[in-house]
Amino acid sequence: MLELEGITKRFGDITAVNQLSIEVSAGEIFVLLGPTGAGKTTTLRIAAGLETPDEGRVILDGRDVTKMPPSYRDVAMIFEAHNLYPIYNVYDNIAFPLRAPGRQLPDKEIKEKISKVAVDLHISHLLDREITTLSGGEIQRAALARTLVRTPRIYLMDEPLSNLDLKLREELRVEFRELHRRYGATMLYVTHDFVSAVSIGNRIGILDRGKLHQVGTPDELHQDPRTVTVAALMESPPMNFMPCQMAEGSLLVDREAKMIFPLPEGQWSKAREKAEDGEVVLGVWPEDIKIGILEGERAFQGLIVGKEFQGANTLVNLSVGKTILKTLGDPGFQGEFGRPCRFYFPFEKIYLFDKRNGERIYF
Amino acid sequence: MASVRIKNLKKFYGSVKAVDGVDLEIKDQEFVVLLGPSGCGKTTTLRCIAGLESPASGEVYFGDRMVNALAPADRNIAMVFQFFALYPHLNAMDNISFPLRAQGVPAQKVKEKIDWVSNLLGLETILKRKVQTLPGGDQQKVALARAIVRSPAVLLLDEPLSQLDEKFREEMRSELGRIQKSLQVTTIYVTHDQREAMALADRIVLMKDGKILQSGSPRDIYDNPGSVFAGYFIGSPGMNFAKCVLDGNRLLFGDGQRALQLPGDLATLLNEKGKRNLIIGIRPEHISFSATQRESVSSLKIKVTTVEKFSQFEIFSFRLSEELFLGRVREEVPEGAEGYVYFLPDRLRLFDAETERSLF
Repeated sequence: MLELEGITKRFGDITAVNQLSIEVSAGEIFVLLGPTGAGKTTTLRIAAGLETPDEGRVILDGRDVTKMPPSYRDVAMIFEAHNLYPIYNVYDNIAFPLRAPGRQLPDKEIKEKISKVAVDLHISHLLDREITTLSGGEIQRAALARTLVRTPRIYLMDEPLSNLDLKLREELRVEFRELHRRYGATMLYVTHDFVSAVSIGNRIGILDRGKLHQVGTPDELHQDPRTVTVAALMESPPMNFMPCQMAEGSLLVDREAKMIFPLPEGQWSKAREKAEDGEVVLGVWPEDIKIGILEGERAFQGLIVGKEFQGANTLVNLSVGKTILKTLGDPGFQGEFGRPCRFYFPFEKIYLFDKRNGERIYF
Repeated sequence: MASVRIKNLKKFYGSVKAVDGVDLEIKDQEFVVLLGPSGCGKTTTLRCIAGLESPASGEVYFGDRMVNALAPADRNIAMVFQFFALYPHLNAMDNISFPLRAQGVPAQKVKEKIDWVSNLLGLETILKRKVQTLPGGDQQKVALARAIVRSPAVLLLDEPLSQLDEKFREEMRSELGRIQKSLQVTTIYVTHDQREAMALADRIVLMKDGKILQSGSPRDIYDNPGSVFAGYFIGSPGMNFAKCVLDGNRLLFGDGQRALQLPGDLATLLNEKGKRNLIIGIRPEHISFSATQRESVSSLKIKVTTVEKFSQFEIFSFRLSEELFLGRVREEVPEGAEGYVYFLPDRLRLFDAETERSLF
């Protein structure tokens, strides 16, 4: 459907996008997730034809469109900041792309299309209103309606929900999925918000400093992150990282704090072989750490330095020497600030990364 | 160290009642979060406590002392704002020491204080850096250090994290909680972000339209919202709601086609209240789903519209009386499937449809 092949884009000395290749299939929502400055918007603008790449090709439905202007590509783009015309009412704003030169649909057809999209986005009652009288959520719905009223080959979405407050974002996220099911559209969606990415995306590409780290379903990325960057972006809460050394038969996290994690013998030698200078980063997801009263000798001890009630669970921060670990407890977790707390995570749940380049060490 | 007491505080801007009769007692060392949507009066309340606004009426006490007539500088408070109010051309250390030097604290003492606060906040490595070269999170740490270095009696924070990147925000939130607990300073914190309130507060004071709607521990408000608004606003996603009609020991939805059987004692209690038009409230994690109907438990037949898969749970959506409902479950739910949802009976909350206030 949409293929980006080896795309590189430089602005002066800065390489915004570096040898990026992705393929968005028909009917799919592909999400590019990355922090500010990752190159997400640049990639999207290249797909739209608003930027020309220095290297690489943009292929849409089998045709090389790299050098074609936006209007020939038949794509629809929606931006973070809405671009509705304040002088028109909602109806005329939505009708705008349908009345554009080259399209100019008959009024009757425009009306039908708008009524349908207005029902889907729950804005039928707002069609006569001026843009300036709408709330933030209503504006975003109107902007979305204007994009969805057309049926382009692909929708390009640049953080369409990020300007909304949390509550509205939650509602619109779900509606967004509903709409996608109904319209079956192909979308390339960029965001820095992990929750949006996971909830909206069929597949996610992790982008950081212009480089695509990994592509996969949310599940794949969570279970098998190939770099520290990927694991750090699959947050909420993010993976715990502990820099450590490979000492005989174990991972030495903090000698003073007695945080030494033993590895099964065969596994240790395998890992040691791959970690060149023995400097590694131990990673473990918060939900894989058991806390509280634990039987058995292998538990570690930390101090409770934070406790955040989150409704369905409690986020508990434990300090061990210089490290602070995020863990998840029950909603009714009773531990108090400053008190000791035992914790443990099994060998099967750990991840090792090479400290020098952040790459995963498989062992 | 100080307790703070506010009596019948009012502040109007023209015809707008920004704060409309707020009574609040804050205990010594307590961490209170004023939470609410924009325009609810939380910031104005904070600014009245700080002395940056003079109330139309009402009193503000620190301990037993009324401070209405005192200038902000004489109230022994420190305030941190949404936008980092730092001197960009000075380095972090000079920014932090500024209020001390302004008070004429001797150099040796200033040094001790700086060492203490930079150790507490982990600022050692950035003390010599110009603040404008620091990332937002570090700038806000410097602002916080400057606020607490004077050991104020009350710490006031106005949306201190809202300008930070999502990532930094969570880190700083944890830091802030740890620091407040170690300092044991009375803290009043204003935010519109319920996650921050839940994470940090000993007590949340939920505000709307210039008034206090409810006040309680995060757990308390989460479990027992006093109103539809409180249930909606607190929790992510918030509580689900739908209009329904009480009919004996059943709740009828929509055109009466769907009914939910109530536990006997709950039905009795509701019937005693004499209200028939109700709103049912249930949190996502108290909803479960099964493809086939279980016996002896009351369920509602629904169609799953969407499913969001997270690593530890799934959020599925369905419609009940036109309302969007979200359920949070561990097992897999197929998108588009028809099936049955169950509401944990002791987690059902019921509200008066007219007043939207909780019925018990």
